[in-house]
Amino acid sequence: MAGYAPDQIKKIKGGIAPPTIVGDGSALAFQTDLVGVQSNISEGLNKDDELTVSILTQGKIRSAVCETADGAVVGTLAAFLGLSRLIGDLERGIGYVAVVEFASFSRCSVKVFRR
Amino acid sequence: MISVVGGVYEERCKYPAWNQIYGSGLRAAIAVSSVSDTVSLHAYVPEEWTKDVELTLASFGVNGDLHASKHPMSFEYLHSFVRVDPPEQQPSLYPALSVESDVVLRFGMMESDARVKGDRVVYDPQAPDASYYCNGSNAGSLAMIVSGWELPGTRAELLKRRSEDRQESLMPNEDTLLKAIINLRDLPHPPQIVLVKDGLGGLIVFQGDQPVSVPSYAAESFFRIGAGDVTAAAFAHAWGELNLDPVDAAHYAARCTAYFVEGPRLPLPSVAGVSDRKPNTIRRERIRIVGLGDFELDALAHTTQGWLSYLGGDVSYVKFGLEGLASNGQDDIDLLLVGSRCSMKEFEAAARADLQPTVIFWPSAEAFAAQFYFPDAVVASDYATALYHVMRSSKQ
Repeated sequence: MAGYAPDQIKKIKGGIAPPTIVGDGSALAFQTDLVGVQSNISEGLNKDDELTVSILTQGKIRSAVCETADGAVVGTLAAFLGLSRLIGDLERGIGYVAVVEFASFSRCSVKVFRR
Repeated sequence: MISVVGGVYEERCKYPAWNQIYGSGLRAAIAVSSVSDTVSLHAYVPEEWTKDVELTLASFGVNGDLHASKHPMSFEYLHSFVRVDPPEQQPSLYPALSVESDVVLRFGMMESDARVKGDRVVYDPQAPDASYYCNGSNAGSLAMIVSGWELPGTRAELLKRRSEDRQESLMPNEDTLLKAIINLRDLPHPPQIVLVKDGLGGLIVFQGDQPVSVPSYAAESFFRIGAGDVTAAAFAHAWGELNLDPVDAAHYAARCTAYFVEGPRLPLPSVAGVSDRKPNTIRRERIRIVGLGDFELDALAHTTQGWLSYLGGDVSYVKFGLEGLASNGQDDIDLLLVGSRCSMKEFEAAARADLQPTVIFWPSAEAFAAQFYFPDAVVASDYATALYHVMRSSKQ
């Protein structure tokens, strides 16, 4: 299927920007989709809602998650370049926030940056 | 327990915006992490991504058997139907990975190969004319999952169609498909099960003499990137780990595909968790398209005709602008394409023309207003979602 597109549109580069180092050079800023979105929580969110980024440990599983002010987990931050940097920062006590870019019962896209 | 072997690649899409690390291997491993007690991923991963991939796997309890590579690969999409230039091919392949497990899901990879031994193996070659056994792989029972033109022996027909400048199609015609299946069965070691993906989430299952069609299941939106990986992963879990009958496993896979494309959503629900999802009926009626906007929309309207034909649709007409439509007043149309810079005034004119579109594609922040003027229409700001809804039967 890759060869089906007309030549004039094959050269367009796509995608949102990869994670970038911002500010004093010590923090990440990026946009990503959450994995394992909790439908009942995500469908109640609106654009620009602020979520807390924290580390959640459940048995052997340890992950970076986005939570509402009530502490409800919306989904997991995973499958993107910069995850190890983010988790390292969180472990050192550097706080991050996630601002909702788009949310529905099935998808939650957030912009993440240093608090 | 299930072992997944497959690629880990960067995926970037412009519409909708998407920039993640997945590839078939990582996506499938995360997909089944919620339903399988033990999941292992065997893959080559670029050195600079290793920590991020390890932590991603750890987030879902997946074990990683990761081998360092030096060649990050990125797949770029304009939208989920159009992949732009493929990743740069590396100079030579890395040594084949070796995987042995009761249940294995093997994907074709760009940077290497995998030699697999398993009791139940699902093989998604992701390339035409691939052979499972030629590299020394072995399987107690083998299920191959492919798109129509990946079946051995179909390449000549595809090239012939292209040389005759005929419309591209996702599926070969029935004769070509059946011949390919017969050829596959005549091999010294044929797969026991062949599943052919229909491109909208449905499958044709070949096991005995009669093919069984498994419909796609209803989804509100359609994120197409990686949908086939999820189909394969869900089938491998249901057939390989749960020992479901292949047709029942294919129904579960099709339901999981619908669940995935609504997000994309991972990991996957259990068999019970998707059992209430309703099947789609694929459109058989002819499709009518109207474009509303500038020159670009005229071009898009004609490109859309090509994509709908590719998906198996039959487009009866493509019209541009409202002229000629307003006079008869009652033209039912299936897809109204609206330019992103189309003004509300122009849109209101479309409403006054008394069009009754089934689906409206309007990539604009004002798209919500379309629902006010056309309350019965599906309004999509995502192109793949619009095409998906057009391909569903209007009789639902």
